[in-house]
Amino acid sequence: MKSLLKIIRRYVFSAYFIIFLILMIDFAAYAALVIHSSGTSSNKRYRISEISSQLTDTGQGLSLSPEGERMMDADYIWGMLLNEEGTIVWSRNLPESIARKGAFSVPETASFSHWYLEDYPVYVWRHDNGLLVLGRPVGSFWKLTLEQPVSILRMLPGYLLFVVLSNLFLISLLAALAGRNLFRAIRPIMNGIRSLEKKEALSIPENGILSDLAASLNKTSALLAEQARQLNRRDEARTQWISGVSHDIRTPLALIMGHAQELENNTALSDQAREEARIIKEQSLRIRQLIEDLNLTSKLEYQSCPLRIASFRPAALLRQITADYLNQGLPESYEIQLNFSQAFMGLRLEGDEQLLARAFRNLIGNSIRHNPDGCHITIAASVCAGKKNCCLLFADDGAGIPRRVIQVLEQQREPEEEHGKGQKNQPHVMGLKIVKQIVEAHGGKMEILPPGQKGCRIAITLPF
Amino acid sequence: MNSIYNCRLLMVDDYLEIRRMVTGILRQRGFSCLETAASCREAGEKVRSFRPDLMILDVMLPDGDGFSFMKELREWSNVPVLFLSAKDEDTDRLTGLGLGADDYITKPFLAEELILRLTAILKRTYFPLGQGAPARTTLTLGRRTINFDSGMVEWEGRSQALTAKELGILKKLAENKGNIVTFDSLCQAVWGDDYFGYENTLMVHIRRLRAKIEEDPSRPAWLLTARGLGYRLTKEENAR
Repeated sequence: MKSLLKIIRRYVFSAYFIIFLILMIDFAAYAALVIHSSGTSSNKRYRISEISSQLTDTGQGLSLSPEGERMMDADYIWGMLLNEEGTIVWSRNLPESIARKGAFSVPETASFSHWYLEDYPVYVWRHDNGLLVLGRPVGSFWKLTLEQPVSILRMLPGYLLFVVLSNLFLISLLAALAGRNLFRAIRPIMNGIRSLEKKEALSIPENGILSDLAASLNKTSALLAEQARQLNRRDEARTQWISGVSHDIRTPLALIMGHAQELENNTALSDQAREEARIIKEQSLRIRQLIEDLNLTSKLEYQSCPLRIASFRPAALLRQITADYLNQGLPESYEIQLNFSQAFMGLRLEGDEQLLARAFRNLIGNSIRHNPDGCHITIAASVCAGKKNCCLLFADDGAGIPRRVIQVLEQQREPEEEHGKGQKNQPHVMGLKIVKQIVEAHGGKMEILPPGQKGCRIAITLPF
Repeated sequence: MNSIYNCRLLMVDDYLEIRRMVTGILRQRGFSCLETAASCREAGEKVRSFRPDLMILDVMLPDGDGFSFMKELREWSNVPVLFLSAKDEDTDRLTGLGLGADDYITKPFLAEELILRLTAILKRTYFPLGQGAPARTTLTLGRRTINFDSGMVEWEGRSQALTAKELGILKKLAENKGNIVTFDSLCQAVWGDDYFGYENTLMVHIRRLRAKIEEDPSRPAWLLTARGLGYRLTKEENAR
């Protein structure tokens, strides 16, 4: 609707402008013509009176001065002076047919004084001795007399106002109609472009003045849909491939792990051999974790991991995770401190509790794994009621996150082509990446904050 | 059958090395009646002839999948089934458990985990409470003994009754002896799922409980506080 009004307004103003411009040009041309012709005309009037004044009675009859003759020859081809009775008392270059007449009656004089005399356009001027008549060449001038009743002249201002107003109304109406027609033609195209933004399939009727555009949009939509299908197929294939590979690795890894465990428990072996078996088992467990992480991260990346949304208490979850770490025999060099606001304690979140638990465990696990000499871990949580989200801060006073890891995590926001370069030397950031993906899958945000004096600080915001 | 170790176990997996390894682990842990099968068809025959007490079943087998096999099996046999598979999707787990499997373990696995889960199924199925070893109904904390059946704390010929809530809290702590039990788990055990707001009440109950089970309630030796998390019942050897 807003667009329609805009189009109509633009149309009406454009119409006014065009008409105003044309009128101005016409008026200027007309004015130029009038000035030119009136200049000529006033010259004539001046000249006929001038010529008249040059025609004087010298006592030996009427005579035109040389100056008068020059003036006359410039514009007229003949001239005569009629006395009070209509008789020709002076003449110059008078055509034979007129001269022959010798005199003109009052009706004849009245008739030609405004029009023509034998097709010669003629002009008259009152002279002391009668009426001076000057003639121009046949066919050189057209004469018109304007006559209107005075009553119409009086009505003229009102009439002109009415005409101007009704013209303006008509112009506005026609412009608005044209604008509406254009809007109607554009509307399906506009709706189509909006649908394209939302990645919806398009089917715009291909008719009207914009049929070419509609056809192009339909084609573009089909092309985009095909590209999206291909991308989905590719993502799906990639996820399935990773899932397949991880599945295929599981059985041989089960054998490695199982036998390593048996060797570790075999008291007949030397301590060193059992220790080596223990390392094989530990590393196998690490590979298992990596396979699971790889699987999860690929599923989260290609949105093929549906969230199991349910209501849960994040405070209870974090307490349980911390208790699990302590119950599993966390060395005393590590300390986990929970600082929850009162509002957070009672907060219920809608989300996938298992996935979020995985994310929180990854963060605590990172602090423990990367600080083998121990550290103090703080988990602070509060509720921002105004923003309808809760803020969690995982901090430790350990070694901190290497700058390179932060850079790699930041780069992964860029398109694949960008961060595909130089991946060989990239550090492994899968644990943090999974945390980020899980948080973002819940509509939240993960941010690595600049460390205080030392250690790492990771802020998580989750909406509720 | 007087012990879980006399139970007959059938291991079904198409991978010979896995069959050998798992039977090796089981044999080492004391299980002697073991049989293996490499396909659904062979497994079906073994179930009829060997009549196992528990079956460890792989999902991907050469002549069919373990899920379909189990579906058919359930029409004529109730043998407990433990899935041991490389298929780790949640949907696979849910399918297996949904078909009535007793547990689902994914490869690679820890031998201890397999043994613990397997023995749990065998105990639950063939030696439920009352039939096997008597269930532990008392808890000894130093000089005091808590009798969960009577709900009494007894010491030196004297006794004091525990309230139902105190008994609930103590049971939960005793089940996880040595481990921290969070406020949430304790409240949930006593007040159910809608427990929020009972944390302060829990503290009151803990204080009263300490007065009954501790020698010096102001310096508790058994029921310890895990700051910000919950409570823990000390293992005997750790107590002062």
